[in-house]
Amino acid sequence: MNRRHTLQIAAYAARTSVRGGIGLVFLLLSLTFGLLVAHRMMQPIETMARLMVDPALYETEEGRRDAELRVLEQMTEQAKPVIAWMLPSTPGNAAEEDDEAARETRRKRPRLAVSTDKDTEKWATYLLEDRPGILSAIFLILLLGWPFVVAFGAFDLYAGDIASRQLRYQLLRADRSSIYFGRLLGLCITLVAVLSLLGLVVTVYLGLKLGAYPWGEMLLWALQGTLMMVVVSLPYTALCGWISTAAGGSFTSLTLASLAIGGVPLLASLGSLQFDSAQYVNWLLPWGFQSRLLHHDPLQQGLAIGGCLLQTAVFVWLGHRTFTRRDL
Amino acid sequence: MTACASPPDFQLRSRPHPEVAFAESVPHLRPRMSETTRPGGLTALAVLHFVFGGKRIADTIGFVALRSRHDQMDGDKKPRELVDAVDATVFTTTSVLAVLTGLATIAAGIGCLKLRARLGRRLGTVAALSMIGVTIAYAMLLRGTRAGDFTLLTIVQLLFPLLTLFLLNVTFKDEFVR
Repeated sequence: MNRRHTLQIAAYAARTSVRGGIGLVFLLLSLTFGLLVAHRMMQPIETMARLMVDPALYETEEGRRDAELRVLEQMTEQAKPVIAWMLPSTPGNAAEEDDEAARETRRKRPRLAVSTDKDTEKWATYLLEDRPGILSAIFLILLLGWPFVVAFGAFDLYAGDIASRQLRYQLLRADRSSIYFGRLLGLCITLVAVLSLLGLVVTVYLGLKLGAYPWGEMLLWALQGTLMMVVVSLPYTALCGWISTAAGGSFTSLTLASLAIGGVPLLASLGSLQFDSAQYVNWLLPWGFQSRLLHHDPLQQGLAIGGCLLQTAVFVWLGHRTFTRRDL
Repeated sequence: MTACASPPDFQLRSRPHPEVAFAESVPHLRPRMSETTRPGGLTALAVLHFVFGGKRIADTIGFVALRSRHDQMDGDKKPRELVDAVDATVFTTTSVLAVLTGLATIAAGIGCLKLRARLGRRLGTVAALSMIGVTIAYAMLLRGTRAGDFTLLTIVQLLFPLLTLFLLNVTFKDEFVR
């Protein structure tokens, strides 16, 4: 692999990503998705604050603002069980109930009751009270949908050019490894740019519109959240890259990537109705641990980052192996 | 054979050839290795022009229909407040501008497909600017009402025209060769 070639290809791929139709639609789709998620989270809060706080009752602007913040606090408190339900319970607490009867009971109980253990509550408190709660909720929802957006951006990394045999022209000047890593790196740069833009827009809007959190705290949390979004994007990008090298065409690649990304949690959910251990299917992809990227415990967070990077390495290796061995 | 195929010399001598340096300094006269082909992104942008132009017209028609049924509304307060918030003159002006913007966006989409500089790039730029204007105008007009305000949805609506401005004037600047 030639490092200079790789960087050149990466820079070119990132710079010209919107010149292709897929790149342009991906950019529009990703930004629209992110902003719509943020809008859906913030609109009820804005509306409730406006409905519950009658400006005529307050003499000063500050009084009205304080009342709005109290409404926000109330809503955050009410949202805590929902956030706790979304978060997975810690394996240690689940292991305490190890006998067959307890497991049977656990299976029959609704998930809400299972996941609201002490650690999960602490986690929800950390996300909603210790950190800017609205941003945390936005990041949690984004974590659920972002893998599918990544699939849309990464499915055609190699598949289209392999199908049309256009990669042969590049092979005259650069080796396969440089092309493989260069394009992958180019997409990662694009993803970082898109996520940074998204994080910045949402944070600035939140700060200007609601003004509920201090700027410094909000910017730091947005930076951390964006970084975690980038980390979670890596394994999915690598997976799509692998599928793209193996597939015979763009459409096949998109179908397979979407099926793989969406199929894993679906299979885990359906399987867990019958067998508890089927939930571990989620760990084939970051689905099983990706929400721990926003965990309050640095160890859990570190393990989640490590898991994402490990899966990225595995998928990159598989993709590189396929790309360097297949007929182009 | 060669002599017959060559163009008559006397016609060429009557008009001087443009300098090569001139041709290279003008982007659309740069020599290309192959026939001009439209980048995939430009085709996608043209399709998006049709979609967003059509949506703008449909939205305006919906708004006009809403206003025409203004008197019949009694139960739902939200659309009523929305209509009340805008006075007749501003409403008519904004609606006409919105329809024109929609039509211009669709025409710019055709221009993008045909790679025409005026119809595609220039009209597309004008349409994008007026789309930004219309979006901001609606957001300002409905400000303070429950029906609408400057929200993240407004930024979502601004995404396409802002992206179009960037793409037409930076990324695809040299592609409009006709």
